[in-house]
Amino acid sequence: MSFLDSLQAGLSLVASFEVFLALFAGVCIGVVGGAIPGLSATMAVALTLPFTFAMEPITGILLLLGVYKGGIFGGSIPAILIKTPGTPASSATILDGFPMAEKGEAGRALGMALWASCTADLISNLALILFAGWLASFALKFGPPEFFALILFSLTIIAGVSGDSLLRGALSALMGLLLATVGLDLVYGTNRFTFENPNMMGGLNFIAVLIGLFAIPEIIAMAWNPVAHLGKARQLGESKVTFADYRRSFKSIFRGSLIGVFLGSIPGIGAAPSAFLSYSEARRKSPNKENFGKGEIEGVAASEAGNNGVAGATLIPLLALGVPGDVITAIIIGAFMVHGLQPGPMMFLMNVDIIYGLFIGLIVSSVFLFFVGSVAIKGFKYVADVPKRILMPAVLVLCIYGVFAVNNNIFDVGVMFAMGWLGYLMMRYSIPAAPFLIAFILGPLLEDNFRQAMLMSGSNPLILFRGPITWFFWLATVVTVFAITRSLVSNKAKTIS
Amino acid sequence: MSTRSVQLQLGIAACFIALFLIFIGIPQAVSSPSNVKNIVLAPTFWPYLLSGITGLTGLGLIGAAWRDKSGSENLIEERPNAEVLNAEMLNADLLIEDVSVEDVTIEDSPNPDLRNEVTPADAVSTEAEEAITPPGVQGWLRLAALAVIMIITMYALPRLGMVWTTMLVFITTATLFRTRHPLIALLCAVLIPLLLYLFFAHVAGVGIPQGNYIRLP
Repeated sequence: MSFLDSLQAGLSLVASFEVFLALFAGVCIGVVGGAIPGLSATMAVALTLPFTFAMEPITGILLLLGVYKGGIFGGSIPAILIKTPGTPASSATILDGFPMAEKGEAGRALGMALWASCTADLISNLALILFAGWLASFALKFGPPEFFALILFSLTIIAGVSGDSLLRGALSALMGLLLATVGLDLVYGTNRFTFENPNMMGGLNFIAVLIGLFAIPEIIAMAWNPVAHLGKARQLGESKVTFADYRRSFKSIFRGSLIGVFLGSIPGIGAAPSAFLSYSEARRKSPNKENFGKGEIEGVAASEAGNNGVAGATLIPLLALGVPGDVITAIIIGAFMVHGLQPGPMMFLMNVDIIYGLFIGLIVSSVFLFFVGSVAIKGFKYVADVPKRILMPAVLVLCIYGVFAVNNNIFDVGVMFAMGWLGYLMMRYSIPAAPFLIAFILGPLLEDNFRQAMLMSGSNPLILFRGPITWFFWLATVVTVFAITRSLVSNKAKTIS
Repeated sequence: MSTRSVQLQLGIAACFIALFLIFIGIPQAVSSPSNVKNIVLAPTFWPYLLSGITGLTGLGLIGAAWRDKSGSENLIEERPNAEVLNAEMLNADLLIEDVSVEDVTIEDSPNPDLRNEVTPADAVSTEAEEAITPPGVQGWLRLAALAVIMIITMYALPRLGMVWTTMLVFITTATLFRTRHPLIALLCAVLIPLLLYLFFAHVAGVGIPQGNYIRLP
């Protein structure tokens, strides 16, 4: 079947009011779900899944994909307005989005987040359509040594989010890596820092750690000084994103989209590291690099492009290989199975109409996202006008419900509180929280792949340099470390002179 | 607190944590089978490695503090209040607008006569002065109170149920933050937990803890 025939078959499948209505509803649900801190896009997709059972396969799957895409964007709304990412993927958006909101430019930041998200989403969808087979076969070649080299390289992005001091950033990352060792050992199944508590055997809940680090310290800081926020411009402002802003940030958006596509096509990496890497690269290349972290619109654009660029690309291994790219696509694979579909290479032969129907639906979802997002910004931005001394207790209550709902476990609420105090301590000592979070996400992946590689090779470390893919990532790591060191030395020299 | 002082304190803390983990934490809390063939595969390898690097980072921070003789930049505590002061002095209009929208409204004044007399700038000044004064003992007391609220929350969640507990959490934290809108706070304290309960329990199907006393439908 030729490309045009496949496209025609897909079009005939999706060209109905019901399908587009489901897709539109999915985007709406996703934006709202992603915008509620603690609910997250993952939970929104999981909650919507049971409603798709009675639908046609293409309708149900597009509904879920709409929720996924809407949820990733929706997470940026509370990240910008109340410094609480609605989804982990929006963590990087806080770095510049919240300072912009504090400067009274929340509307501009949200507008740029939407434009960057839609652009990255479109690029990611096009990449999915054009490069699905090739990228998936590339990712299939990854074994533990390649993953180890890739994650080690990804850890160098910590330098980009360390703020003023690389050492304090490194300390933060090390704490994150140490905390990630809590739980049962992967190889021997023995306890590590679990203190015989069954709640800790699976490791600490990521959402609890995330919300604890980012939302709770703000509440504690309000207890320390309830009037400290007075005088800080936290108005929405009349400023809106302009085409000039978009044009100025386009390079970062495009780069972030490509980073998202690349990392999204590799199973297990996810949107959060992609957003941080995109942010870090934008900061490194931007002429306004000094403004990053202080409310630079290009930082918002890069972060959002990075996390939305992943959305389409995670479907590459899902559709081409039947391997879910992240947690959300793992839930979506359930929807395929419920409808008697088995994602994988055979699906490109047996159900090509569904594959191309999904491609068309995904392209349309980018357009829906733009319109739904525009309305959502207008609706949700009023969160910024809520008195902060009413908002913070509400956020605390929302966090308690949200963290509990992930695992139905009160222990997670305790973890969130504990992490909140740690986050507050870090805030007071100017230790950045972002490296902690990145290391907490990547730590288990790094260790597991390292130990798997050692098991494969009989503890021969040369396996970590076994082929062109590992060489590439080692070289990239060395080049990045060299660049960071050189930048530090030159900064030091400037300070002395 | 100066940069130098912060770096020094962090460095010492990092070294202390590393030593604690290496000599007490890991031997006590990480189980490792005796038949591990290679040290890199042992469950203790990664924690030891990370602890070692933490210690080195701590030494690096101490070294950085040692080199930074000037250390004049304030990193902790004084900065936010200084920012408030600057904001107040340089952008008084903005402050007035901000506070009138958010926290201090003339209509809130306890004395009806003052409602027509107090200007927004007057209303702002007390809170602004408060904002530029370091919280001191009051701040520490509020932090301790918040910690107690969190501990009680953990105990109350399974006993009172999530809805009633979070209602109390809302009211106590809003009081702790000295809200100027007690009625709105009370209304929110009742409505927000109830709405969240309705959503999570009846839409999302999450088993919200109901407690031992009053159960919701």
